Parts: sequence; C-alpha cells; structure tokens
Amino acid sequence: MDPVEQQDWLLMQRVGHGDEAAMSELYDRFVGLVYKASKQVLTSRAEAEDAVQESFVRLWQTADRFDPNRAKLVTWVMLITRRHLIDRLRRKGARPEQLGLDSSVDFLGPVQEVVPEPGGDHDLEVLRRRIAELPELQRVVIERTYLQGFTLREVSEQLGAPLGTVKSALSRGLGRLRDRLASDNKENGQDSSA
Amino acid sequence: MKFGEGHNSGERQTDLRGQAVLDAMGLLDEVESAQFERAFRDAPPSVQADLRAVQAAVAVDPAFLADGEPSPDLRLKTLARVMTAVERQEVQFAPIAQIGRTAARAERHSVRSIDANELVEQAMELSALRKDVERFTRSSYYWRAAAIALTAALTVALVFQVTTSQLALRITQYALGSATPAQVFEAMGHPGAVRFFEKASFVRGVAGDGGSASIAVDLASKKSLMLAIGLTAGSQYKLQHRSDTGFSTDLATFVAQRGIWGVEFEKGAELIDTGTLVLLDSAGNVVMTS
Repeated sequence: MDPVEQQDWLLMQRVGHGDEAAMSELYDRFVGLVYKASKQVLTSRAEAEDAVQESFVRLWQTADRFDPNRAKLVTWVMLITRRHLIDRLRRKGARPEQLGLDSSVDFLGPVQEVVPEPGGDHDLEVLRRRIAELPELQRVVIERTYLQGFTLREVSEQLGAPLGTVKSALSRGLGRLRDRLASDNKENGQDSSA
Repeated sequence: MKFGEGHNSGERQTDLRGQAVLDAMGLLDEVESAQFERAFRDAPPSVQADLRAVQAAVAVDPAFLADGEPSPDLRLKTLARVMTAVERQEVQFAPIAQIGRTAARAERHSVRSIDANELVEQAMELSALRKDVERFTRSSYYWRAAAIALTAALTVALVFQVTTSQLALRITQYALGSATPAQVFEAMGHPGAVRFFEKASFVRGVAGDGGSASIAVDLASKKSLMLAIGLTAGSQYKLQHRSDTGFSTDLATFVAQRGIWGVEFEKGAELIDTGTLVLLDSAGNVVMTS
C-alpha cells in the first residue's frame, strides 16, 4: 500500500467509527463528484442533494469494506454513490414487467416534451438526448439500466436477448456516450474561447 | 486456463476492462459483481493495477457527471444526517449493563454470526432459572429446534437493549417453559413453522426498538420463513438484504396482521447469511436490523 492509499484507508476507518472530522474530510473531497453523478440522473436539484446525503450515510455504513488494494477511494465513493442512485431509480420508477424493444420510448416519454425546471433536470435532458442518438439496442439498454435502475439480467429477460448481448450493448453504448460527450465538451471549449 | 496463458489473454483482459467499467458504474448485479471480483483477485498484479486505473478513470469521467455544484448548506445537512445515523446506531446497539456476563459476551461477538448453541446458553442465563435449563436439556429434538429459533430472535433483542414487550416476555416463557412447540408457534400466528425451523439450514436474527425477528432458511428448497415480534398490526413491512458493497435486494413485503407475524418467502436464500438484513416499515424506515 502506498502512502496515499494508506491515508485513504485510515480515513475510511475513522469514517466507519463515526468520526465527524473524518466524514467532513470525505465530504469535502468528494461531494462535487457525488453531487454531479446524482444530478445527472435525478430530476431536480433537491432530489440530487437528498441523494448526496444518503450516499454519504451509505459511505459511513460501508466504510469498513473499503480495500485500497482493490480500488482507489474515488472509485469506491462513486461506486457506492452510483449503486445508491440505481436503488433510488428502482424505488421511484414505474417498472412494467414486460418491456419489449419498442416500449422504452413510450415508457420514458418523448424526449422533446420534458420541460426542465430552472436549474433542474436540464442535465438529465441533455443526457437523454445524447442517449437517444445511440443505436437502438444500446439506447434501450442504457435507458433501462442507467436511468431506470433495471439490472442487466432484467433487461435481458425483458428483451429476450442473451445476457452477454445486453452487456456488450451497454459497454458499447457507454463508450459511445463518453466519446460523444468528450467531443461535445471539446467543441464547447473551442466556442467559448472564440 | 490461467489468466495470461494462451493466445486469448489479450481478449480476456479486454473483456475484464469492459466488466470493470460496468462494475465501476454500479451496473453489474450482485452475481456478476462477485464474478468480476473473483476474476480481479485471480488476475496478475499488473492487470489488477490496470483495472484499478480503468475504474478510477470511469469514476471521474465527465460523460457521466452533470455540471454544477451543490448548495453551500448541503455540507451541514449531510454531516447532520450522517451523525444522526451514527448516533441512532450507537443507541440501538448499546449493551445492557445489567445482564452482566451476557452483555460482555455481546460486546465480544458480532451479531452477524449468531451461534445457536451460544444463544441457547444466553437464554438460559437470562431466565436465571436452573429448572428451565434442566428442562431444556431434556427436551425433544422438535422442542429444541423451536426453542433455538425463538431464542435466536429474543436473545438478540434482549442482549442488544431493545424494549421487551409483555408479549415478548410471554413468548420467552413459552420457549423456556412447558408449552409445546406447536403452542409456541401458534402463539406467533404461524403453526406450520415448527417443521420449517426443524429443517432450517440456519437461522439469523434482526432486532430493533420493541421487536425482533428470526429468519430460518432452508437452502435445499431455497425457502425462508421469518417470524417477527413487535410489529404493528395492519402495517406493511419489507425485509431487505443489504450487501457489504451497497447492493439492496428486497426479499419479502408483507402486511402484519398481528403484532407477532410470520411470512414465508422464496427470494434470496443464499444472501441471508451475508451482509446486513433490515426490516423496513412502509415509510422506508429501518425498524429492525441484523
């Protein structure tokens, strides 16, 4: 374990013991990322901030499970956060038992009709538009897993497709999103500097 | 074939990298996540380092992060919420000083690993009646199974300072007294539970303010039975498993028709002796936990 990893491990041990100073330090280091991840998939700032609070409670609950030999602390923090977000999406969303490939658009509603609240779900709307541009299978799999909280197995059953196919579609779709967003950011950077 | 051997090690690493991305995004279910963890452990150190780096990059990838910053007041709200949860857990699981030896035992042992024989012994200590001990050791196999199941729930509740209702005390008397197992479970509203607890692979307990429950699991049939004390009649509850890495799995949802109620379910038998079990009320509040 290198010194940074050791410090992170000690920090999480203190967090697990309910040390407020340690929790403050954890919050200050990672709240930006936790908030931005929450904001991307939840519909309002208030909901995102509530998710942030719950994520840090979960980080306290699972602190003793952090293993720096397995993952960096940022990976662990974001993993706990993303799993909590998926749980929230699963709890709050309507979950039809059988969704074929054609059903997801109707289920989510037409992308154009969503009216973002001020400072509200604009980020979610932007994400949904980008997802809508993906090839159909990739789009459906990402919508159902990342935005609705279905597991890969559930999506596999819904679509009647092998799990491996669904998993590959998810991987390819996420890769395309990353490439597309990186490209958009680069363009925006060039525009704003012009 | 071990990792790295043969012509497809490159493909294997590519596949692992893909799994690593999905894992870091929280998009693998518990089974797949466990498979990935095994593959990670079996991989050479250089591959492990690569996978750690891949996952760290995904964690901060702007593609999956919105813009903006949280409100300044979120810091205080978050710290308050966490510290409230910390304090609540500390109060809930404070050992009873009066029980003495039992309390000392509770401090030494994790609730998660409840040894049935040890719990039986603790129940005997709680009763503080030698004749009950003698009666217990002479009891039949059926009776012993029923008593172990009840003491698993009740001892967790008593040792970890939860309110012992009059009804819970009455059940204790049944368990350590002269009632037959059928009478005990009939009192709990689940007469058929005798046979279930008799053949259970293991029993695990949850406890909270004013209540406790035992969950008996039959790994052969993958069925489980939870018997709970201290419920609110007419209220809906949900039994949920929470893994050590943040997964939540709903195991059973039911309406308690009486304060003591039992429910059979077929989900998650293989999960029950891992992680944390919680019983949630209809508002999502944790009312009992392991």
